[in-house]
Amino acid sequence: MSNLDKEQTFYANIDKIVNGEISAHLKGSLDELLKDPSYADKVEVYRKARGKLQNAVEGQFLNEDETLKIRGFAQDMSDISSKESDEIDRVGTENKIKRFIRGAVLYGALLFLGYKIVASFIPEEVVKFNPLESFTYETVELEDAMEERIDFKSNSFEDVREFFNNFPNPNIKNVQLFEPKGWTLEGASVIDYDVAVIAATTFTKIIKGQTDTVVEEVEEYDENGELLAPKTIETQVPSKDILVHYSFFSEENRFPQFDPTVVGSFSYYPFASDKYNMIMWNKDKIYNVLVGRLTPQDMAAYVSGN
Amino acid sequence: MSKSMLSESGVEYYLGTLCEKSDDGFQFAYSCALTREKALEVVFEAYQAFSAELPTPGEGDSELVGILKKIWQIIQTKDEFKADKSENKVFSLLFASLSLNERAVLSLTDFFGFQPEVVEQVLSLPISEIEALLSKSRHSLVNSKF
Repeated sequence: MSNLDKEQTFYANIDKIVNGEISAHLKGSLDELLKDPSYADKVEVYRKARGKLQNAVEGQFLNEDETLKIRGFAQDMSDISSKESDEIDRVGTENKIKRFIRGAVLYGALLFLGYKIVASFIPEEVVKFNPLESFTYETVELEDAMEERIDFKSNSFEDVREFFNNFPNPNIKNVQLFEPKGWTLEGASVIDYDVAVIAATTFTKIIKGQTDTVVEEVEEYDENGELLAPKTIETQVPSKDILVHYSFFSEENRFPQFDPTVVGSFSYYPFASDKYNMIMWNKDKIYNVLVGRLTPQDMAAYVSGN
Repeated sequence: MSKSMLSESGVEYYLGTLCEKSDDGFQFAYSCALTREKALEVVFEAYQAFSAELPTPGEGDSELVGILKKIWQIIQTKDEFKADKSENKVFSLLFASLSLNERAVLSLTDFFGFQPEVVEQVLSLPISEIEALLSKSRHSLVNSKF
């Protein structure tokens, strides 16, 4: 049984309020507090302050000499440089493979739609960029490996704004951020398809009552330092839904042409695939796309504020 | 166990698994110790202990939890860390008014994202005390000017 008073309980669970994870029982006991506008302000202040805290701590790391010192506790320094250069080569090869896969998916999308196939990986003619196919692929990748795919992890809109501001490309620098209420900002990425540069912000939301199983393989050693048979640990984590906002500049309209859906003053184009729904809305040559499992109508409601 | 007695697999485990998470350990140490110098002292001591013991992090623990637990154990042996000595402005503004336990709980929960049950494993404190510490530290977080 908790010995916390209501205000203490509020602060102890403020993260759950921000993430929309607060239980019905807790919500009931904090009902009076949550109706007070000053406490609603505190929730927002906490959300931003937590983002600043995360950035402040994440900005601290060991320098090369300090890392070498730690590694040197278990190995002579003379061995470290050859292992480091092997690691650099391995990472370099991994990056080349990732760029190859991105290119392969883009070219595969062109084949599927019946466009001409480009024979070389460095094509001489202009490659046509299909945002619907590409954003489906990118969202699948984000959902499968979010930690690796997001360039800048942050829950703070201010910091994401600053992240985009650091790019010289004016369309990235001035990207209009989208803030869906009730969703948690996970971070931002800039994706370069050569023919288009995309600003992407990723959001998640806990799916109540659902969990995913995370399986982790743990290596254990006996007292002689010999590797034992691997052991797996299964952990239940809350399932999360995903919503990704993509924004990019394009001289031409790269989307299928049809009459938009109009809700009040907001016009948008709905699309659907077997994995996700999407809506596109544009102003002049800036195209915005939302991708996720919400219905197009719900997505439009988030964007228009209706 | 001396360095020369470490098996190749043990060295690989230390270099590959434990050293990869040294930045995480340093971030936790820094948010507790408040100065880079003290944080490094703690991290170096922790990894020296790992290189000698070659431990597995413990039944059911992830490597990160085991590393943070060791760092916390070493922090407990140090003299009190002076908040006003921090060269990091954000740490001074945020952490100056918090006790060591409050800083640790806030860091583990709001930076590392651990649930109270995991914080309990790292700090060896009861969950009821963790909730109270978290409440106070977040109150400071909300009302600080950083």
